[in-house]
Amino acid sequence: MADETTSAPNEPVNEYEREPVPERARLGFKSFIGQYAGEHTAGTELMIGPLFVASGVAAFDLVIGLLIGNLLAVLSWTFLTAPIATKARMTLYFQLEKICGRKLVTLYNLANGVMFCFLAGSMITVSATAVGVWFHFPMPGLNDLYPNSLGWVLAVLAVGTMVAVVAAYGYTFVARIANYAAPWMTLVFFAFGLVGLREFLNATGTTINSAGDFWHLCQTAIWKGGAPLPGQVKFTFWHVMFFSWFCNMAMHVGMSDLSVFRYAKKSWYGLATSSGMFLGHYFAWIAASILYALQLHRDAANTDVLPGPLAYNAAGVAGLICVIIAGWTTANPTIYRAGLAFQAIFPKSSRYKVTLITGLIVAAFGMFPAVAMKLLGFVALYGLILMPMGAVIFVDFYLIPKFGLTPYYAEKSGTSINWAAAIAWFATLGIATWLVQTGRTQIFFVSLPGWFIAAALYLVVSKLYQQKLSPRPATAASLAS
Amino acid sequence: MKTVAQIISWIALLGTLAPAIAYLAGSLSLDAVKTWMLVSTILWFVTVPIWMGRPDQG
Repeated sequence: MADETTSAPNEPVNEYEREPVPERARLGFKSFIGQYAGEHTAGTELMIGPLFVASGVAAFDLVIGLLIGNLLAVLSWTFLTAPIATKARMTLYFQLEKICGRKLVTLYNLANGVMFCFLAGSMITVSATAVGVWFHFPMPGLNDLYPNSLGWVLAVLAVGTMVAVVAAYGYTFVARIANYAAPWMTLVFFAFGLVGLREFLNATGTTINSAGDFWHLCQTAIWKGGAPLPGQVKFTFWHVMFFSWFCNMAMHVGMSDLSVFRYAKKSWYGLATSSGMFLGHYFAWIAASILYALQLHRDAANTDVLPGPLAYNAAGVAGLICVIIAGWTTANPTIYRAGLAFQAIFPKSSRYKVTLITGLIVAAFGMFPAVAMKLLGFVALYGLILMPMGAVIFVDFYLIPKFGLTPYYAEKSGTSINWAAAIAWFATLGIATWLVQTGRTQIFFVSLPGWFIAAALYLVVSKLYQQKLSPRPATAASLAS
Repeated sequence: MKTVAQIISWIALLGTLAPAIAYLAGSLSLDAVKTWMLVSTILWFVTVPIWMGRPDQG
């Protein structure tokens, strides 16, 4: 998504990190379809689908919960993120800096970058499980937290280094690779599901003559419900719905994808995320869950969630290539986002170098399977931590002017920290942590009330706080935005 | 050249999914599915860079 025409080959390109995206650099609908399909048909889908099964999910809860949750995610991108992105046309970080001030946004960028690193690390973890099938080194189990063999460490390092180098070359190159892989990868995931279904029919001796027969198989053999595996949280319909809605909460409600949709010509391009949510998340999670359910059906003691072996058993070498590429094409934009976050902390440093270093840190994180094996809880935590700032951006953009207050307050007042935003962020996280720790709600649900708490806090505290400082005249940059 | 590559790419995509459908229908072995999927994968990645990735026209 960069303007490469003005840059030399292999040099960092101008990606409008501190200016609105000009009209000439804006992209069409198809670019976002390909990007989201590739990004959300990822290696981690091969973890999430099995973890649903490990959480004792039932057929109706999975199929309908995912349908509604993913629809809510698409609507969140379309009606929350994309409209602001196509009006302001700034990166998340630059927009936050104007609202929150340099110091607070630095802290946010650090938190954001670190969370992205953990997430990308889990994607590298997934890709490395495919390497393990080829080289036969011991791989982590469902409850492992630390690397368990030298082969595992070397595999993660090799995959991680490759991903880091590619991510550093810039968004356009990464998007092109993702576009190459996306259609093929989606079909391989479909193939996983179809092969898994046939294997289930063979293993159970079932004959399908009607939709009723098929649904009976789903309920009694694939997604049977009941107790979760040891160490896992029981997933109901509500868990599935909220998880699939908030799985990418940092990106839609949390506004991280302002950085992506600032390139969109129209705000309705947010609907392009449906390629990722339905071709990717919906079908990919279902397909992956079928493969893991089959593994448990054959050997209930084999609870390992290893995408490499799961894919290899279903589709051979093509399946392994899919796992590697799926992890890679998703880790790339995640590392890119982390690089943007860190570069916002060090704006004078080259994005190329920052992204490369970030990628190497990600590779180190990827050696630890803890995040990947606890991915459901981690993803919910990741959304929760970043979500309050999405509420701050939403309120600052739509409500603050309506209440006679000053938007982009930090920039206009010259303050380095907007305490209204800081209090909204920290107090929301404090309240959410208290709600979860005291057992009043689970982490999968707390982000919804959390968003309203953050929005209300930002508005109320801004009303009190902005009266204490006199805004400076608006700068040219703020007027341009 | 691009058109030829594009046609081969579409055939490769078909070859990625069709074997799994045939396996579900019981008309192909799992080993054959794996072989066809690998061949299709190679074809896809060899041909797709020839035509995909041109500047977006919106």
